[in-house]
Amino acid sequence: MATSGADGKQARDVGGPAAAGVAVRGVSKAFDGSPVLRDVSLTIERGEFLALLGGSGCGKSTLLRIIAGLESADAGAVLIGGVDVTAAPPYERPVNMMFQSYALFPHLTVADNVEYGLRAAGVPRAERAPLVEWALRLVRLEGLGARKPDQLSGGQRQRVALARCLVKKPTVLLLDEPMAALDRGLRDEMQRELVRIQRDIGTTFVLVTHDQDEAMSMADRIAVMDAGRIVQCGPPREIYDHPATRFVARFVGRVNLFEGRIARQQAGVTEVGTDDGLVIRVRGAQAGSAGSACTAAVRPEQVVVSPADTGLANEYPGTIEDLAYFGDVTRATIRLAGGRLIEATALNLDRAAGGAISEGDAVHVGFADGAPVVLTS
Amino acid sequence: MTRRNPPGLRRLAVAIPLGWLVVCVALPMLLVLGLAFGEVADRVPPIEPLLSLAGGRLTAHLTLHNLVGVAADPLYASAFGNALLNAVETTALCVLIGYPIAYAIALAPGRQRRLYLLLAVLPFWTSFLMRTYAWMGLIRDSGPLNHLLLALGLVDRPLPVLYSPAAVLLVMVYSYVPFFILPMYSVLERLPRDLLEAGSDLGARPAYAFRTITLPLSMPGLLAGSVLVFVPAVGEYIIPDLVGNTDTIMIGGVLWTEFFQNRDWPAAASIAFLTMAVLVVPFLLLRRFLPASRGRRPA
Repeated sequence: MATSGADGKQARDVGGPAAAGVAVRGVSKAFDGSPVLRDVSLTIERGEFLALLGGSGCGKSTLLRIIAGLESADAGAVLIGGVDVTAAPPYERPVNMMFQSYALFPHLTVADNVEYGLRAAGVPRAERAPLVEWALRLVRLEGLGARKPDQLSGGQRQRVALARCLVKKPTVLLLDEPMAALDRGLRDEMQRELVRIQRDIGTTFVLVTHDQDEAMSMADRIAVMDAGRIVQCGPPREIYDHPATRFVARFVGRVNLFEGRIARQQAGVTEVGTDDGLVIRVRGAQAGSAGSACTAAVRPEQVVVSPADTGLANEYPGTIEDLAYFGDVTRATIRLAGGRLIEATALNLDRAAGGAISEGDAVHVGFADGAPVVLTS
Repeated sequence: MTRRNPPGLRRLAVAIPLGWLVVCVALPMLLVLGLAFGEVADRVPPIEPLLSLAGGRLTAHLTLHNLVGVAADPLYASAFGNALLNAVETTALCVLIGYPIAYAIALAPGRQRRLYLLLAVLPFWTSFLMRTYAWMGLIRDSGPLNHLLLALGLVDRPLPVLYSPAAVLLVMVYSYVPFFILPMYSVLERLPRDLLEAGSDLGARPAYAFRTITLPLSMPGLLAGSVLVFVPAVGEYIIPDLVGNTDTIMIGGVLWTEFFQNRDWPAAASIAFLTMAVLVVPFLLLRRFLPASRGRRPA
């Protein structure tokens, strides 16, 4: 999981705030009295690929629709390319949205679908044709212009939807769960394709997704949303390695959470005492004084399982409760003496090593003092 | 599902509507067609038997006289023309009035939508004749309409609306517009909302989006509603008879007169048959044209 996001992508350097692609300032929105967005602020740089990641009902799609102008914010402002568009209708905003359903016009051919936005904007016929051709080539659909949407496969339809947006050369392209309707193989292909296109044309992309793998592998930056708020915003690696809250730690990847209090801090090591009597040693000084509540979070791949001593700073005896084999990794669930369950994943590097540990074995689990992250919220 | 049903059940499922069509549609039409070839007689029923058995020989008594006579008579042609014009005007007005109403209902929030639909069909709960008489009362010289016009000083003597072509059109549109609204609504209500959002997102102003998305996609409803209004409107005889003037005869009224007053069943049947023929042919052409433009071709 950690490896899928680490393809060396970095947020691009950009100019000052005037160059911002999108700025969302203090946006709130409620539907029938129940708040969906609570005072959300977010700046998306020009040329950036940002993912809005969250579970269903977290407000990510509503935020996207507010940027598109399809919903109006109850409070706050939206700026696109430095221009306040809060009151502008969708057809006056320099953004285009790729709908989850693709929303292709069923009565128009592929080429007419792609041409639609140009016609609506009054682009002269002579300029439209080469643009349509360019967009269809960009999404590798040249030659299918005369088809109707119902004669296309799901993946082809998605490409039409993408071409229909890109032909408008929008300042920002909004993508609402674009992979939701595709099967797995096609999804991976389209993810790579989208990243390629985004790099080629340098348009700002905002992707809404509930799929953390998708967000991690595609985006320069991820904004994790929960209950109408952005709880953390940063590059995939930062989100995974330094989650800001328990929610983020749990939502992005798998995690072992040790809830407890800071017991003491000395010699560059903080000790967290859990309610069931474990002591977690964490390297480095942590915010919060002794006695303050906190949670130590450890990723399963950082937990080592061994029949003998692990020799790591944190080490606890336990029993293998369950082993789940996934091919590339094996996930072990270990019950500690106090009853707590710990998850550990290990890469299956050695084909001969299978069966070294089996369910019911008494083992030691351990992790280094550099592994845990201490969370205070 | 269908495959698991025993073939007997499947045949029954087809047989019921088929039987209904044969008994209630095909047979009466054949009867009318037969009558059109018959000859008037001074008896009950007022027609010579189409077939007779005399001296062991079955003889058919058929004549083209009625059909040719009706087709050639300019009186019938002008009555048909009047009815056609009236039906075209009625349909056009039903489209212009019914489309916005159907659209407004389709856009209304869920609970209000049901109320509006109920209101649209509410007139059906009162007898059609009663409503026509009510209109006669409303638009007569001493009725509320003229009272209002006089009181506002818009006219200085009562406007003779009743017994005018305008009155016919008014009551026709009033009576037929629900038949347009219902199919129109059912299509507009199913129109995917995200298509309009996509249009707007792509830069289409509301009027452009309506012209390029809503209208073409709601064409099936518009055509269905228009057919439902147009076809019965051509044959309508009660409204022109009650609120129209006596100069503008329409084919429905002529048919009624031939059948009930002149007791010329073959002429009435010929009128009915020819009217139907003139109406059905364009619709068959329309049907051929429609699926071709909307159907899916193999990929």
